[in-house]
Amino acid sequence: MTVTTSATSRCVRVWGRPGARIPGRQASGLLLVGFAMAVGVRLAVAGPGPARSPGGGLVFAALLLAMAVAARTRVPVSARACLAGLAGVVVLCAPVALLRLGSPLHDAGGFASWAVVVAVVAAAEEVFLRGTLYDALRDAFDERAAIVVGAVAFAGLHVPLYGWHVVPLDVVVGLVLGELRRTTGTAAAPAVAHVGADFGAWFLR
Amino acid sequence: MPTSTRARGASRWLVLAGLLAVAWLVTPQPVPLYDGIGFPDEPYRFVPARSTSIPAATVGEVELKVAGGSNTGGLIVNSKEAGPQISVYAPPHAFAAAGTAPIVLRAEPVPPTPPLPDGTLDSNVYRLSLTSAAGPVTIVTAAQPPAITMRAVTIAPTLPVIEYRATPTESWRELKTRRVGRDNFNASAPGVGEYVLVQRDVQAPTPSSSRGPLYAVIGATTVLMVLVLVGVRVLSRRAAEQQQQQPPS
Repeated sequence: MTVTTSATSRCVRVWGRPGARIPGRQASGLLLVGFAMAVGVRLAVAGPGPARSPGGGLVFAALLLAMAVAARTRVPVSARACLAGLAGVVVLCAPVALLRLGSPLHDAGGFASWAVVVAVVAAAEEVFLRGTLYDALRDAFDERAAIVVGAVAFAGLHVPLYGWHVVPLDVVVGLVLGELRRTTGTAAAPAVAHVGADFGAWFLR
Repeated sequence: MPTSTRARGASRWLVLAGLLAVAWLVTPQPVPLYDGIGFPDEPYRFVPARSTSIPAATVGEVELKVAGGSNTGGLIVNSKEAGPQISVYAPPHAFAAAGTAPIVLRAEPVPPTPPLPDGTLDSNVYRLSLTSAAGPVTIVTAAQPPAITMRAVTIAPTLPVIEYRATPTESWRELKTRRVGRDNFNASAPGVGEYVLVQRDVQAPTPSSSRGPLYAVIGATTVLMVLVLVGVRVLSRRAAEQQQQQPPS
């Protein structure tokens, strides 16, 4: 994986080597198989109550990042992408904030340690789904396929953790994050949006 | 950027915002997360409260609509802690009552009264009650039985069991208990009465041999995962080589 920063058109490489994106349907299929196996490993490591296992989440994140590194995924970080990500936080949190209008916010006790794990897992999901997998699907098919398949994979990942009832919401959230990626050209924007929305969920529950 | 492209982008975002609002409305609460680390539990609350900083445990209560002599819809009632220390699932038509007055299902933490069950208590004692203004409430044995889920105080290597007694004068009996989360345990509820999680002192820890299949699955998946990583790497390198061979445009 290559993380780059660009303030304007200048791109400064921070880590990794430049490489071609992995092309083709072969790569897309392989990445989806790898993703499914990463979900399986996470469930096996986490045991009962997988949604509450930091260990399972971190192993899952490590496997996703390993695939991103193997595929030489590039994640350019720019001020524009971060701003777009923050706008994504507002879009993702607005409905629940409106539904809970007038209710007190949840207190911040225990937030810090939880937030670290959540940030790692959410960012890894975005680097893989809206970075590595998106690139492969776009090269093999088109951007629409990259957004839709990424959204379905995103929803599917949450089914063993929370149940089928989250599928409609997670598919739509996946589409929003995919559209952010398409608009900004980098997985950094959906990563900011995803992490920010999860942080928001802590206080809005 | 051309005006038409900008308009297309704006309309796409409007559609997504609308879809998001609808998805939130149809998704049951509580707030789900978009990734996989659930919210941590607050410290266990006891009855009576054991410290001034942690309030006493809360009650779970719900009213079930009655029609045709039984409750009509299935409901889950939770106590108010995060996460709930007790949840009771009331299936449809599981409780019979006269008239149309609602059935009140209540799970209330109560101080433990002797005789206590053998072992160490791993939760509050909860009293489950079913009442109706129209008269007594009975459990319909032909219907799906209600279920009770309790959060344990500890996450111990040995698994606790749910014990039950119908009245405080009866002796406790063990219910068939299954683990449904890291510290959550579930059993069919035979009726109104008292429920508590108990750590059996003599229970043997899980033998390591029973984890053999789990380790085999993790090992096999890890090997496959390595193969996937190698495959992705090879495809990536091949693509880079092809790119280098192409003449600059």
